[in-house]
Amino acid sequence: MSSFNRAKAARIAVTQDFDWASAYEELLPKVYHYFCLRTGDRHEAEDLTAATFERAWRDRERYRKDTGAFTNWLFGIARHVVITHFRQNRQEQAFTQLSMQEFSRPTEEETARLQEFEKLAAMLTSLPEREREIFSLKYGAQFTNRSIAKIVGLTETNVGTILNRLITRLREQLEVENE
Amino acid sequence: MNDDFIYAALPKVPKDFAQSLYVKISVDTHPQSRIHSRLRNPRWVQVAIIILGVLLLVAWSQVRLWVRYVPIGDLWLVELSRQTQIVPGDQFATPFIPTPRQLPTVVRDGKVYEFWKLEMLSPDWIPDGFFKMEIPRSMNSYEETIGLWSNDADEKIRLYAVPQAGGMHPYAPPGMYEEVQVNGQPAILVHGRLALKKPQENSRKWDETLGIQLSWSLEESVYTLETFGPYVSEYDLIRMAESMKVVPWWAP
Repeated sequence: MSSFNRAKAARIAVTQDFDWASAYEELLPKVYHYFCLRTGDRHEAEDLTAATFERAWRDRERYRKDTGAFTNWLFGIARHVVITHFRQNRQEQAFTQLSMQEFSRPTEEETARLQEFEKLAAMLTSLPEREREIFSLKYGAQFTNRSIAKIVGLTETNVGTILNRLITRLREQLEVENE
Repeated sequence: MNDDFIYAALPKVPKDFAQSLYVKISVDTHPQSRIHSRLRNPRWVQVAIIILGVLLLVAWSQVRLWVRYVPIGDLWLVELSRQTQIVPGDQFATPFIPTPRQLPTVVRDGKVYEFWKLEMLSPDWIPDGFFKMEIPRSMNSYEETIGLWSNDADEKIRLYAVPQAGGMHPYAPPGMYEEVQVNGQPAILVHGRLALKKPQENSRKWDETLGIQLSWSLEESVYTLETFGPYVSEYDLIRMAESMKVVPWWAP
């Protein structure tokens, strides 16, 4: 049995009332992508993702099923983590160009994906804080417009409008760059 | 709204990162954090405060009405509070209603008399200046008065016995009794007794100046020597107890 599976078995024995393994598998990409879009930096996204899950695991006894979905609870932690992160850095860090040499032997598909992400992240840096949060919640955390509206305190229609304009603008910018 | 280009640009989660993070959070179970987390939960804090309050209330009531049984040799001493409401009324009584054993009887001059035994134990030594008194019939209640002595200062020594099973136990508050030896056997020496209740008082208080009592076990009975004055010492009582010998009930 691998260390991963041993740890998984041990963890399941500790918290039998909740399927943390399934939750982890489902929510890890969402949390990671949320931080990718919020920070524009994959390394920072990894650090913040780790901080979020570590804190969620540490405070797992505080999660109450009767108060809401686990996803909402986890992203409550994630948003707090990223706000703390930005506050500590005093300002949202600008997107830094990532050197492709940092990654070990990326495949062609991965290389293309990373290039697209770099372009996207560079465009996101110019967005206002609220729009970037909405964008990250939509395409990173994959929240519905209604959930995002509750989180940011807007109407569902407003959120839809903002996202629609954003996507249009980003697509146009991306087409210009690709030309 | 065609947003496929966004999903296509999102980087995949590195497998090494996903596995190492899972291992890290799974192995670290944070047992202390769980307790800390529960304490930070207001609901748990409220429950804890309620439980603590109930425990304090129970503890307070126990302190007020403290009664417990202390084994000393073959005897049980009832340890109670210095100030108690357990004793009902204002009579000199025990902290609970004892269950008297059916006493043996003997016929004398055509009348039936109850006696503890046809043969009884009585001290062969008494302190100087004391003389034997006639036992008032009112003194025979739950316990059997065997002897009563007095001196010129009207200080009295009384000897009585109760059955060890079902009879009343010696009682005293903490610190007002000690274990002594009577002929090498454990005995209980009690300093003072419950004072009579004053009209304005709801409870009776222990007065350690009101004489001493010595209780010991002998032949399925608990014998007690008690004084009603300050002049008889505990050594005198122990010496009296150790001089006990069998005498016929009709002995002078």
